[in-house]
Amino acid sequence: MIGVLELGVDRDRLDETTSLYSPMVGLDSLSLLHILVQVEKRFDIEIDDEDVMAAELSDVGSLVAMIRRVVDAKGADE
Amino acid sequence: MHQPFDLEADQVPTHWYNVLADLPFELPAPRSAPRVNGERKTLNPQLPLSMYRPSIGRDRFIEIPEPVRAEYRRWRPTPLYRATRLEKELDTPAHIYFKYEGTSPSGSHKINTALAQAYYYARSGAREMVTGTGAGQWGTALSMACHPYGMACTVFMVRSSYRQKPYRGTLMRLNGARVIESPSTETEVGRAALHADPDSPGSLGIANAEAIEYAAAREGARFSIGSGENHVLLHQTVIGEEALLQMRLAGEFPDVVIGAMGAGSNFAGITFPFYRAAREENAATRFLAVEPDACPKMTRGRYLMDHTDYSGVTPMVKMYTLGHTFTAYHIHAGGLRYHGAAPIVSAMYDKGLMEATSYGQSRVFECGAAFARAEGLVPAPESAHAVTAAMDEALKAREERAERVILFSLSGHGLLDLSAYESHLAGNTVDVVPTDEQIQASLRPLIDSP
Ligand SMILES: Cc1ncc(COP(=O)(O)O)c(C=O)c1O
Repeated sequence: MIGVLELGVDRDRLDETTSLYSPMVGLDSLSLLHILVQVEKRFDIEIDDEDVMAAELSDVGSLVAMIRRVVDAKGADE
Repeated sequence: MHQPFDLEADQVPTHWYNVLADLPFELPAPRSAPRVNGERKTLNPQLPLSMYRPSIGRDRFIEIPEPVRAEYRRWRPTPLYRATRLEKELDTPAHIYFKYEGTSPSGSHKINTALAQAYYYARSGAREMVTGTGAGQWGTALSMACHPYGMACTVFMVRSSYRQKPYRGTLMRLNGARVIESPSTETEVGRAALHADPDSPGSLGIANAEAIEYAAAREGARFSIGSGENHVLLHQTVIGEEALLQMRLAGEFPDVVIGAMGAGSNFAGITFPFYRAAREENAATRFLAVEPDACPKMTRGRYLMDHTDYSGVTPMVKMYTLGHTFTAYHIHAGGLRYHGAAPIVSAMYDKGLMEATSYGQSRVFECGAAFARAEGLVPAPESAHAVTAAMDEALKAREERAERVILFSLSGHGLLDLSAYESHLAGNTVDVVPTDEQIQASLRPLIDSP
């Protein structure tokens, strides 16, 4: 997942509770959009606006969980 | 009088045109904003993902959601006319065409993106839209667009415009918006600006910074912007797509396409589809952006990374800019006082695919008034910049005895700008031009920091 986020950080230094705002992740509200579009491409999914709102993204864990939900939902459809 | 080229009701475009598909280069990436609030818990994307996605991709045509297209059908297709009487008065062999966006409910092109944005934001759960407006055209458009979706609307309006055009405020309030004069005491940014200069005329940069701060503090509120972002340019391409069909009806293809330049959405809207068509047909069409002498971001600015708002909380984008702290004199064309040019337009200008020129406002009102007399339509002061450049092109064609085809965008009507025309008639319009030192002062911090 870190690879997908293209954060260029050491996996060991990142855990689920790392804030998306932290200097290590360093997302802002625009770069978050950019990341989400990259994730969509990588997994061939489309994330709904509702999913993003509902996820209340705050830390790495919440972002990963949201992506996993969308990927699983897609898997279930097929 | 003007000769019309009408489309059928079902010829409202089904798709927006994404010019990124046809650019032979990549846009420079934005740079993240400085972290101002590490404490905030949830990270909301600035835009609905569904609206953002197509605006950075390379898909050439983006389907317009049916509810948005249904709204467009209320007044679109807008008319395209040939200004035959103006041609006669200028005694020019040129053919002058104009696309008229002033027939929209809000009186300008701005509602093309306001309705699209309201649709996407409402779907993503927003309950209130907050924005800054210069001349009031954008605020008017957004207030009209929020209502159908049951969203509240709060507008920070640049003080100089607010006082010059009280009816703009009325129109927004009539549509249910809350209108706040900017700089205001409601935000930190506003209070700081008032502290620095109690008589500050305000600027779009300050108004937007206030709106951002205000929206961030309110549950369900989202900041929206009506001009330079990729998605805004995308939505405005309905203008050029229709005009392309209408020019085919007229049996001509423009040699030059002209638009007034605020941050660039109207200019992009009219020109991008013609950029595509000119490439396909190997036509040497020119694209001319027209800005005021008082805010010459393209003709005298620099191509640099800069913030899109006054206080510098937004991510930086590469654009032609005068520096985000540049405050233009309060000219009547408040909608053209923005310090930067849209990243896409800037990149195309940098590569020589677009041209730019500027005019002083006394000349602009002279030409706006001449156009009004000849064609019976009063141009918005912003649009009158395009009128002026079109008339100059027509006069050049006369000198060169060339049968040139000119197309410009009459982006809005000026019926709520009559006080500006009144001061023109009274001979009170003054021309203001920033000095090199003033421009250098607001650019220096950007040049110094890599
Ligand atoms: C009528 C009209 N034309 C043009 C503009 C310039 O803005 P933009 O460059 O986004 O089209 C404005 C902005 O308020 C406007 O009101």
